[in-house]
Amino acid sequence: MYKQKQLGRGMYQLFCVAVGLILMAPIFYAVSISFMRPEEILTTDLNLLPNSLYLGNYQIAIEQTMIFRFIFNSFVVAFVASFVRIILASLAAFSLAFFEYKGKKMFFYLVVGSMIIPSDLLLVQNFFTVARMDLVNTYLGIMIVFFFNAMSVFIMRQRFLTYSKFLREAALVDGCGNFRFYAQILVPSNIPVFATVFIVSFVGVWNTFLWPLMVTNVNEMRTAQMAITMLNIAEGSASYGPGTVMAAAVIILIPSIAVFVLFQKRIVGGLMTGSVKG
Amino acid sequence: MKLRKASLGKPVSALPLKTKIFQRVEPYLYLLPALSMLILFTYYPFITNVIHSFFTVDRFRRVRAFAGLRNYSRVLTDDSFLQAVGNTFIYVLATVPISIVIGFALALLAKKKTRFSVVYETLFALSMAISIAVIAMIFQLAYNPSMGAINQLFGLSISWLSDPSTALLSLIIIQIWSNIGYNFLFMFSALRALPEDVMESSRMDGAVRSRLLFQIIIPLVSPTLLFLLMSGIAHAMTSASLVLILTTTHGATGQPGGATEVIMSFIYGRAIMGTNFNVAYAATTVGFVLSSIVMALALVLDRKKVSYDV
Repeated sequence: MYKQKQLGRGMYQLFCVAVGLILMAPIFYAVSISFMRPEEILTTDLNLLPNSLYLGNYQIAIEQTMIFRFIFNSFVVAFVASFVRIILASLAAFSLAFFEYKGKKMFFYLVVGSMIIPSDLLLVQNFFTVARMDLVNTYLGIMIVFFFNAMSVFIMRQRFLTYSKFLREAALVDGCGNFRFYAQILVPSNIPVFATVFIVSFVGVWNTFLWPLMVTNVNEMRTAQMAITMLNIAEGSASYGPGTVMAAAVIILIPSIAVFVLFQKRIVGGLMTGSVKG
Repeated sequence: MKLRKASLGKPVSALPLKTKIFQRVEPYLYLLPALSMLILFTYYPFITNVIHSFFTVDRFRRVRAFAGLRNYSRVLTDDSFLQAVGNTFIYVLATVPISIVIGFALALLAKKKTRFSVVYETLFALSMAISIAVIAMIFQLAYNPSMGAINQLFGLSISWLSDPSTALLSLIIIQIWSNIGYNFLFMFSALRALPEDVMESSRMDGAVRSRLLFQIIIPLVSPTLLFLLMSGIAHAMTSASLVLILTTTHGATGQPGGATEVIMSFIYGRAIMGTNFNVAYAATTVGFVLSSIVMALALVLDRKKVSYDV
């Protein structure tokens, strides 16, 4: 009986892992292609695994492009922008969830309403704003449009609304100021939701390539996504074949997957403890 | 008299004036940094766009003359724009529900903590860590008619991205793949946050289990579902990255022959690759109106089913 149950559980886990691996097949495909010689890739026969670990694609990607500088730029932009974003969003959500004041409803609708404004399309106008602020070719110029995000405010407000009102009242009666309540009680006890928003934000900023493309025009300020699209444009030329593009793609994937896996552990464990409300 | 209870526990009138003023402005101070960014980079450019759409502007975006609704009538009678609107709706209707259902199904699979659950939780969520530019290029190779894995694997000979009948479908498949991780992570968090006893009763037999799913679990996670639906629609209505990366060639967006043109790529083609700001501004406003209608519809449809415990 017991053994059978355990076997069933093992099969279940095996099934889940298999589903996950099938889901991630495109990534394994890219890794596999990145180690193939050009003649292995260019064939019409199905070739899922490289014959040998060929490193030439990586050599071209690393030696002929500034790929590590691009990754560094992407990291700085995504990290700082996400950090500023969770601070701005949590302060706004704190205000919207815990206070009663004139115009609160209107501000909330301004936040929610902005979610349906196509942000990509505002880029041209925003470029002129950023250019007027003299922020072209700066990290701040790339980051500044990502500081505010309506969804982050929305998620945090939803979470704060379910937060125990009694705890706040008790804190205020004890002479704890509003800001101290925010910084010392609310933020530490909502780390899981902060982690969620941070990951979503980091990935989102890391993913964008059109805005950085517009506000930068020097090579050393470019981000990883732009580098990839440039390799893509050069795909037809002799130097960058599909193997090199896949090698560059894998190099770019490593840091983002690493960051994600690192935070994933925190988020899954954290969300469970965080959701147990007092 | 309106006495705001900014500080609970103490009567407001007993506090010194300075404290009272501070308590009045305090909530606005917390809102100010976020709000100023919101206005500067969302509402200001948006309103500028709407105003400009009623004027004729030159290619340096300088206002030349009042145009009334002329820009709009030009856009709304433009066949390529109407095709873009149609494609956008197909794109939204295909990508949003399917990726939420898959994300939810994976969350149900993973909801019970097991020894290897960390492994498959990570695999299920991982697609959100992969940039659209990178995954677009992986699929571009996989879709390649001769050396791509998809045709080789299934023995097909389809020109996925250059055949008008499969091009949009090809982009939809990539978008769904890309959305799964995000949807999974939110549904998974929502499921794990449910009370223990709800999850415990999932040991029951099939019939009861499906009733549990539809009558207890789905209503409980409906705020998360609504959030994913709304953010999914908002994103899909305005997304153009895949079109711009994969089906834009020689300065023409939404190839082949407009088969993958969506509202946003249409606007890009006019405003950034070309300098036809008149059409672009009007198309932008139309896009905004359409997406707000769809969002409102989603809200109304879900109002009845969603349980808010706020």
